[in-house]
Amino acid sequence: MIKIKNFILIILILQHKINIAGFKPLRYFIFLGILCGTMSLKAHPMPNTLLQLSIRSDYLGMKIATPIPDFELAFGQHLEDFKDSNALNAALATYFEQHIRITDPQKHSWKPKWGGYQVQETTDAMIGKYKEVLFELQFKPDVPTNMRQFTLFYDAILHKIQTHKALINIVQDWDNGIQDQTQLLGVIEWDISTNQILPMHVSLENGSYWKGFKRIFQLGMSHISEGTDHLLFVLVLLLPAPLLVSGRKWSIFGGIRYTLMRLFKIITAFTLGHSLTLLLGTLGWVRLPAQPVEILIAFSILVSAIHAIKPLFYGKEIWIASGFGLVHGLAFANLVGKFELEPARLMLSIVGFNLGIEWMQCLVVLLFMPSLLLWSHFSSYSWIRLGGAIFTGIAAIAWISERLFEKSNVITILVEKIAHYALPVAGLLFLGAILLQIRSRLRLN
Amino acid sequence: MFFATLLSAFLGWWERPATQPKTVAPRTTQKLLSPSTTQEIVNLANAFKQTLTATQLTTAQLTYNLANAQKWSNLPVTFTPRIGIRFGDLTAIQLTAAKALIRAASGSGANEGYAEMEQLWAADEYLGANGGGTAYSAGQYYLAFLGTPAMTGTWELQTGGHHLAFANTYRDGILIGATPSFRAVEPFAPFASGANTYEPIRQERDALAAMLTGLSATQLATAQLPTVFTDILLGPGRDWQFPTTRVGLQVSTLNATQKTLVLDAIRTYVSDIDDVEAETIMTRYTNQLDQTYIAFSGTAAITTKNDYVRIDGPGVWIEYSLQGGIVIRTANHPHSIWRDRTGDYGGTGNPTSSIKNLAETIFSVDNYPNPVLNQTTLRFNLRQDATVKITMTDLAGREVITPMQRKFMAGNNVLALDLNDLSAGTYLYTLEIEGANKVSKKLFKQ
Repeated sequence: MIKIKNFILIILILQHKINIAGFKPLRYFIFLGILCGTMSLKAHPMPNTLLQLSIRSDYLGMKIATPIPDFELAFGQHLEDFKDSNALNAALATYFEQHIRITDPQKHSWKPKWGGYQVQETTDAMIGKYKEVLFELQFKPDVPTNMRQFTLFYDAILHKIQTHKALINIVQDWDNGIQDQTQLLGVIEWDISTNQILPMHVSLENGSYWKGFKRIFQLGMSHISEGTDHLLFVLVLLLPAPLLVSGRKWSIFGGIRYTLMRLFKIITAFTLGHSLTLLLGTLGWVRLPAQPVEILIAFSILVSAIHAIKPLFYGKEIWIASGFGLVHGLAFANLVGKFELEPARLMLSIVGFNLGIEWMQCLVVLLFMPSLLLWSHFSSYSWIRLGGAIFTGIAAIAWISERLFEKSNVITILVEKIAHYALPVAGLLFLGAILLQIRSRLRLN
Repeated sequence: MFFATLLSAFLGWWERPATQPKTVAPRTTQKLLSPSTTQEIVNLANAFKQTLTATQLTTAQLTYNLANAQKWSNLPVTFTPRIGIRFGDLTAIQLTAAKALIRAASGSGANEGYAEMEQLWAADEYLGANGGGTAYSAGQYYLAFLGTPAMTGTWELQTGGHHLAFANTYRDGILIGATPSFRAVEPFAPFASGANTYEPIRQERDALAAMLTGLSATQLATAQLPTVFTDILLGPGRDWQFPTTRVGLQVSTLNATQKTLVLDAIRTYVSDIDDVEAETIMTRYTNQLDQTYIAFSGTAAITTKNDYVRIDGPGVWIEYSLQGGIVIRTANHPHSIWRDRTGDYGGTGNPTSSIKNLAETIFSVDNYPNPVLNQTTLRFNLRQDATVKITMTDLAGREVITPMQRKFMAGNNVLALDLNDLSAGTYLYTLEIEGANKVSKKLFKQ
C-alpha cells in the first residue's frame, strides 16, 4: 500500500484552536525515526529477532521474525531438509514450545498453539537483502485471566547464539490505543555478568473501549490529513460546487443556498459510499488488494479534477461521489481490516474510523468553503478553479504512475512538499476573497 | 606468591619463544631507550592544540565524563558518529601534530601500536575504494581530549574511527587505563597501500590460534564453549558487564610453553600502547596469569565464521570474533577487544565502586522512548517481588495520571503506558515501595 506519511499544518493549528485532544500524526513519524535510529545504533551486522505481541481479549498473539541462518544454526537443521511440511511444522512447534513460555502472575503457563511459518525476503540498512522466517503462535490461558500482566520466558535462538537478541514489541493492544503503531517493550538478551537469559515481566496499563475508540477516531482523522490524495480529492470536489452550468461550461455563482445544497449532497453521497465499503471490506465480505484500489483512487481524483475544469457529470454528482466513496472506503478497509479484531472492537473501529474521517473532512470544508463562497462571486474565481484543478490533475496522473510502477516520482514528491503549505494557501485564499469583496463594495458605494 | 614472582621473572626473560609464528615480527626495543613519559604526551597534546583554530579547539577539547568516554563504536562513523576532531578536517600541519601525539602514546613494535593504526587507516582507504564508499577513509578518524591534557587531574586521549578505538586515561600524570581498546579490520587479507602490503590484526589471530592449537585435545574440550558467538560480547556500550564467573580452561593447569603462548596472545593487544606502559601492564597480567581463563567457540584455527576466542583474567579481558564480511562479502573479518576488569576508562563508571545500589529494591529505572510521543515503556528491575506504586506529576507536583499500585515480580519489568492525553512538557514519575525505596525520573512529552 502506498502510505503517504506527510503532515499538513492545518491540523497542528486546528487542534489547538478546536481543542481536539492529542491528535499527533507527526509524532508517529518521529517515533518511528527514533525507534529506527536507536536500533541502528545498537545494530549488530546480522539483524536480530523481532518479536511482535498482539494483546487479544482471550489470547496473546505472537509473531517471531528472525534471519534464517541464525534460526537454522539454533534449530540444528535446515528448513529445506524437511521433505514433509507436516513434520517440519511439528518440529518447529516442539522447538518453540521448548524455548518460549508465558506465565501469569499466579505462575500458570499459557497454552501455546502453533500457527505456522513463512519464509520471506527483507531488507536491512546494514546488510541489504536477506531471508527471514516468520513464525506465528498463540498463547491462551486455560482459565480466563487478566491478559495485561504476564512473564515472558524466551530463549529461542539465544540458547545457541549468545550474541543474539530478541526485540520485544507490542503491535496490537486496541484497548490501550496501540492500533497501527508499534511500542518497543525491551530486549531479551544474555545477561553477560550472570551468564543467563532473564525473563521479562510485562505489565500493560489498563485500557478501555473508550480509549481504543478515541485512538481509532484519531487514526481516521490522520488518514485524511496525512493522505494528501484524499485531501486533494475533497478539495477538488469543492471547487466547482458554488457554480452554475451554462452551455456545458462552468458559469457564475449560483447562490449560497444552491452551493450548500450541492455540497451537502456530494459529501453525504461520498460518505455513504465509503462507509458501505469500509463496513463490507472490514468484515471481509469484499476485499481488494491495495494496489488496484490505490490506482482507482488516483483515477477518481483525476476525473474529479477534469470535472472541475469542465462539467462532466453535472447533476449526477451524487452518483459519481458515492461511486468514488465506494472506492475510497475499500482503501480504509484495507487499513482497519488488518487489525484482525473480534466483533465488538471491530464495530467500534469501523464507526470510530469513519467518524474520524468525517470530522476531518468537515474541517477541511469549513477551512476552504468560506473563501470559495466569497471568491466565486467574481470572474477571477475561474483562475482559482482552473489552477486548483490543473494542479490536482497533474498530481493525480503522477500518483497513477507512482502506484502502477511502485516508484515515487518528482511530481509526487513535490506535491507532498507543497501539501505542507496547505494552511498558508487557505489563508491567502481567504485574504484574497476578503480584499475582492471590499473592493467591490467600495466601487458600489 | 614467591612462585608467581619467579614465574613472571622467568617469563619476562623468555619473552619471544622459538615457536613464535613467522608473521609476528620481532619487537623492536629501540623505543625502550627513550620511552614517552606522560609529560611528553601532555606536551605533544598541547603542541597539537596550539595548531588548532578556536573553533577546532572546541570540537577537540571536551569534558571528561563517562558518557563522552563511552562514545566509541565498531560501526562506520556514518552509522555511529564519533566525538572529537575529524582527521579529514585537519590541515597537513595539524594532522602531523596529531599523529605525533598518537605515535607517542602507542607502541612502537612492528604491526602493533602506531604501525597497526596506520594499517587500519589504510584498510579503511582500501574499503572506501573497493565498494565501501565515502563512509570509509583515513579522514574518517577522530581525536578527542576528554578533560584537559595536564600532569594533574584526569583526562583521556581518545582516538578512533570505524574499526579502531583507543582510550588512554591519565590521572595526575599516571596512565590509569589503556582500555577499552577495540581493533578490527576489513579486508581480512593482505592488501596494498602505496608501496606496502599490510595485514593488520593477523598477528592477533595467529597468536590466539597458536595459543589454542598448543592445547591438548582434553584441554581444548575444557576450553570450548557450547554456544555460538557471532560477535564479541563486550562491544561498544557493554561497559562493566564482565561475567561474574569465568568460563573455559584455567591457565594454571597449562605447562610453561602453553602459558607463554597465552602471554604472547595478550601481548598483541597490550603492546598497542606505549612500550614502557605496556611492560607495566604485562607484568600485572603475568602475575595474574594462573587465575586467567581461556575459552573458545568454533574451531581452534580461528579461520571459520563465528570462531571466537576469549582470555579472561582478574584484569585482562580479550575477545576475538571472526564474522562475515560487510563490504567484502566473500571473506570473513574479525572484531576484537581488549578490556580490563578494573582499568576500563581508568575505573570510571565501575559499578562495584558504588555499592549503594545494592540496598535498593528498585534499580535501573528508565523509560523508552523519551521524549514520549504517545506510548512509552517504563523499564525497571526489582531485587524481589514487591508492590510498587507508580505516580506521575508535573513539575509543580500535580498528579497527571491516576496513581497505580501493582504487584511486580523480581527481575526485569516492563510497563507499557499510554500518555497520549498528556500535554507537551516535562514530568516526573516515581516508583515507590512503601517504607522501602523510591526512584524518580524525568520524562519529556512532545
